[in-house]
Amino acid sequence: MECSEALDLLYSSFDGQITPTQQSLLDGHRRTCFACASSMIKAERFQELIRHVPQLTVPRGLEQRIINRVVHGSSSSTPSDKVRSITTAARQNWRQASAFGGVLAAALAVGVYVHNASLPISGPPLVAAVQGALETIDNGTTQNVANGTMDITGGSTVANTSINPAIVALTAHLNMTLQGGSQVHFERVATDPKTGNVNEIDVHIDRGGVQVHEDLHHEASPIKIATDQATVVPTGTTFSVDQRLTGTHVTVNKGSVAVYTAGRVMNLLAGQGMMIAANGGVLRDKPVKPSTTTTPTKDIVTKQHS
Amino acid sequence: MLPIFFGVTIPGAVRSYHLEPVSLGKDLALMQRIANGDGEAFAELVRRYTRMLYNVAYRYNASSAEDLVQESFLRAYQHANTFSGRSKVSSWLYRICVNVCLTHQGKSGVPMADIDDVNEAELVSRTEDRPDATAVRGETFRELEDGLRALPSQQRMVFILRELQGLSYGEIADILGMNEQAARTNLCRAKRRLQVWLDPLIS
Repeated sequence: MECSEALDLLYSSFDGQITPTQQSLLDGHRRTCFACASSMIKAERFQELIRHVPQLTVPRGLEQRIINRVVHGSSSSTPSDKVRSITTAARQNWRQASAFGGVLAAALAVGVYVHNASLPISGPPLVAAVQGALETIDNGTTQNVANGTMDITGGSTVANTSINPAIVALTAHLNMTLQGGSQVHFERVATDPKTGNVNEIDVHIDRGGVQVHEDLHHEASPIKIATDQATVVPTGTTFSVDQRLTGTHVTVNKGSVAVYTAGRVMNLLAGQGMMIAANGGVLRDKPVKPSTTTTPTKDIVTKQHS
Repeated sequence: MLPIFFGVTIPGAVRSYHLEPVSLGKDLALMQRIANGDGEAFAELVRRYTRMLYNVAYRYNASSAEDLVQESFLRAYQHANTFSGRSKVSSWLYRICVNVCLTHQGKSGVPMADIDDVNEAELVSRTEDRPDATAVRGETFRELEDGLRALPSQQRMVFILRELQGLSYGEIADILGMNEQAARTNLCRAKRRLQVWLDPLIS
């Protein structure tokens, strides 16, 4: 057997498409050709990798958008998917966000669009400052906001349509950077009608990733960032949550976070990271400090590699 | 060193054939209702097959995946009366989606590599440029996606339909308008190139 045939025959064997005679030839070649044997091992690993590629989930509201567009001739959406959320319990005055944004508004040219869906609004909108250009779509109407502020209410979707990161100042001491191509959905925004203080922001990462930075010198305000796999709660820190095809990647730059996933909680310290796979399995980049209140990390890790 | 992914099973992984719970008869009836302008029937079609088409479109062109899926369903709605029932609705939708993807690629102005345009030496050099830390951080699937997008369109689509969607060679041949042997050849070439692309991660 020629070496050039061996790999193709191996690929065919993955499909169960080779005869016993061909299998015998392949086995014989493998025993006598070191180069092919090495390639075949890699091919088998590659095949194993392919086998584990998970199916993607459909972006929030896509089905309804399709139905609206095709049947009703509208581009508006009414997301009906189960709500996932990022929660920020930031309690700073929402007006401070504008001032903070004023400092931020100068740099990157980014494209972000905001889509307001019909979800309940609690209190006045959160006024967030954004670096770059904003594009808002409400009931089919597009509105552009350049280097200014935007109102965020429950139901708003913010997407960064550029390849550059975009920064959204949620409060004076809390901002969120959307990576290029990312999209988040604000499921709930609760502000105090009297004071304007931001009590709660629930956001879900539809795709891509965000980095959250909270000013550690101010009152710590636990922030929870949720994806389809996990909810991440910091204690005043800088961290990133990335919703990828493979699952959710969490990296902590400063401080610490607690990662809630599938009934478990794990603490991550600065410099640590982890990935929560689509099935809820957890892979650690670095050792994880066990939570004192939940399932020991050791059990989690053991389960993931079983 | 093997990436850590190889030690992990993902039981939630689903192939397309698991997403086709309806019989041909029900498919045909559904399509007839859609052809008669039944919006609820169309909504049912969308709910059944959006995930299937989204997986194809995203793997083919991530940045335009939603648009591609929307366009596919729009065409399906407009041409529902042409569905004869000789094939599964899923195959019919796959064919529409593949055509939309290929057409979109052409319109986008992105250079389409010919089947042998990308030589393996180039792929090797590109993989060597990438940091080893990528593997350590468990980026294997993302690298696979990147490698996939570097493939010629035909190879890419055959790989998506066969390896990621689980279609038979017969279905792929029907959808892409090629014979089964051509589908096999394209798949082998795609795998060879992807294996080279991922070599640092699977060595």
